[in-house]
Amino acid sequence: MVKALFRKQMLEIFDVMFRHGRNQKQRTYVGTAVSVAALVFVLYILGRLLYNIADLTCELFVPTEYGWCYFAVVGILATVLGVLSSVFTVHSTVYQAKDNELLLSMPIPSGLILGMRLFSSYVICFVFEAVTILPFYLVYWKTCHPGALPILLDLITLFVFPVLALVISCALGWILALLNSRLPKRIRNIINFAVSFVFVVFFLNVCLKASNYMNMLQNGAAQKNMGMQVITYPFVCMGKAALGSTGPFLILVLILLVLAAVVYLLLGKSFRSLSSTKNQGRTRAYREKTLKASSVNSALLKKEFRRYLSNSSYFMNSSIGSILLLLSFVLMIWNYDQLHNRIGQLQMFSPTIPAVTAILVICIMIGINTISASSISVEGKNLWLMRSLPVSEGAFINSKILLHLIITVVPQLMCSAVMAVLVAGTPKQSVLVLLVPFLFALFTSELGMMLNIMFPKLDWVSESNAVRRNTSTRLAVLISWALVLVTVLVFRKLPENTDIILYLYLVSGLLLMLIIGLHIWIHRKGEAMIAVL
Amino acid sequence: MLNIRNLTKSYGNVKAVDDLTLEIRPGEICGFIGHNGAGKTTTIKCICGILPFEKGDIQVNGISVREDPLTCKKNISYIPDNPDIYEFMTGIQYLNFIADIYGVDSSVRQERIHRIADQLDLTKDLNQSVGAYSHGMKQKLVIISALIHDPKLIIMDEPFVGLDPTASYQLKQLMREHCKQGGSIFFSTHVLDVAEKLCDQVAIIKSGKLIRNGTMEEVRGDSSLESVFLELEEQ
Repeated sequence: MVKALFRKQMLEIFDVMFRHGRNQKQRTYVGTAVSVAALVFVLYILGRLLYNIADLTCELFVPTEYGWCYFAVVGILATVLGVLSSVFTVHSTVYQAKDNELLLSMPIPSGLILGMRLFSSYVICFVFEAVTILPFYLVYWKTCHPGALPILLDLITLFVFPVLALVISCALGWILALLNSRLPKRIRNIINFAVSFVFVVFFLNVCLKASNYMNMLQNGAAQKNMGMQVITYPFVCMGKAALGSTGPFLILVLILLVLAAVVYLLLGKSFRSLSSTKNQGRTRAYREKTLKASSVNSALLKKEFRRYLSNSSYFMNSSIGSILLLLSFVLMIWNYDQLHNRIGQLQMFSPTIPAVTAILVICIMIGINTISASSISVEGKNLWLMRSLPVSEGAFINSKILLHLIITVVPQLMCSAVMAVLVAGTPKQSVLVLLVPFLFALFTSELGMMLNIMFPKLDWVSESNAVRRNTSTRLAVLISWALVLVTVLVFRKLPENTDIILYLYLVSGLLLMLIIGLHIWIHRKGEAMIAVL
Repeated sequence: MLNIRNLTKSYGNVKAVDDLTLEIRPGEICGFIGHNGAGKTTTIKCICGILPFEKGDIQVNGISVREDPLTCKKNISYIPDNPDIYEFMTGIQYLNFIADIYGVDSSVRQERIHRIADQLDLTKDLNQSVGAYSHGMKQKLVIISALIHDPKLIIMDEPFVGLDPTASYQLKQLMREHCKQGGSIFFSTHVLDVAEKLCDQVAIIKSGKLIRNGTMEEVRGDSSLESVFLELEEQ
């Protein structure tokens, strides 16, 4: 039974690699290899980025008295990332999975179902934390040559430490499930959005203030601040264990085991009732009112918006880029004068650097949005409806692309407009700051749609699977970022006196051609492919 | 109203529907019966334009599904066996969405929703999210949405599954009303008693081939539909 459940859970996580989303057939060995390679590549890029950061910072911090603080901060970053990546997965796979009732009807102990669900969430936490922590360990081993014991403790910590993120995710997921089972749907969505937003802001805050946290850890330890010590204790132990201290390592393992057991027992008590509650809140009986008529296109767009806003997992996972753009906009307005001075200084050094950097950063943020790349997948079993209605495939696709554009372009234009004003005095640059990200948003919306038509995942168990564990969303982010990277690399290969503004105008032209190419593909081949999905 | 000629649909090497020819006239209710996997749902999905097919043609009110699918779909309503509809909408939002897609006038949709929802006893639940509906309530909602644009032909796949006895009775009434007004209904069912009482015409499919088709009297003869069906199945 355990083996069968374990296999089912693993299939749920990894089936995207072994099975075609479109026809549900087993992938060929080559297809599987390409799929695995794409995932490994994304993880490698993230890991490589962190490895470079570790390479720059390790030698500065580790040999000092507070070397453990360095790893403790890495632990905080990894935990926040782990929580961010798994909290909605825990919520949707533990409490909202479509097969909960089926499994509960079988002679399987509910604790075992819960355990298996938690294990799949642990795997997600582990992947994200390993990608964050391992580069720092590797650099530490390479530069400090710590010996066998610290390396062994580091390796065990790598597997044990994600339990902390899992425990926090479980606690938050439980709160979300409890709220979901008691509150009306509208309030529930607002709360889910607020929680999601707070997570992202919190994560950004942790990243931006890593050095402050190092000071906080040092002070907390020095001042014997009880509250601070309790909160940071697992990270302090993790930091000390990373350097080879056996005592803190054993305490860390004990803390994690106790936390895991407590959370498992608490969740186990409410799992059955929460996972089988279908509360939609108290709803008032329908009172007839005038129904507003809309055009087909407007009705389709409204439908897309309703779906998008109905599930926090969908909008959070697919529009992190827009949230980051909105936050950037707020920060730019908040620190306008400071930013204006800094840009002025930079322009004296190089007149084009601020505009070019802004374009690249905005494009990278745009590239994270995967609304169109998951929009066909989220249709799931509802796809028959569109095919039975008198709606052309073109109109169906356009509504999804339009949703992606609205969600992406509005914050993009807000950010671009502020930057265009900040780099004022050079109209060519201001136009570029508005134009290139806008074209890039158009490109990513069509790219995502093309990829989702090619790699749809329609047989999801929970909606977050359709958004997160989807080849098309991974490829969409990867290709978008790769395009930004290639643009930079190509420019670096050009002669030194090449005008970067002219180069970016050429890139805009190329983007426009790509957009037209994608548009033609989507409305010729893509429509035909959707008709037979 | 519905004219199927030599319809052939395969999944790989397996012929799910093989050279099927069938005609339904205006005002008729046609029952489509057959064992599990006989090809009923595949035929229905081909008629509705959900599945493409290799050979033959399907015309609804003289319009070919293959050549002009959108115009054809405007004349059809489809009620599936499993009402997988948008759970993120409330009942009334769903009905309004369907009315928008078919371009139903605001006052007309209002009147139809009011009348049919009252008849099926769903009015008070229209404010609820579809996700909170039971199978039967979803089925009722799909029935209302199917009638909202006054289609000429209604295609139903096992429409009585999940409906309570009252709703079942109401649906039969709605079906008869629809046909009195000149519309046609083509529905699949395993409940032969219902088919026998409700249908003017019956079509029996076995392994993708239409093995019997005609008026209820022609097919049934002196015995019951059940015994005819079982006899044909054994052959």
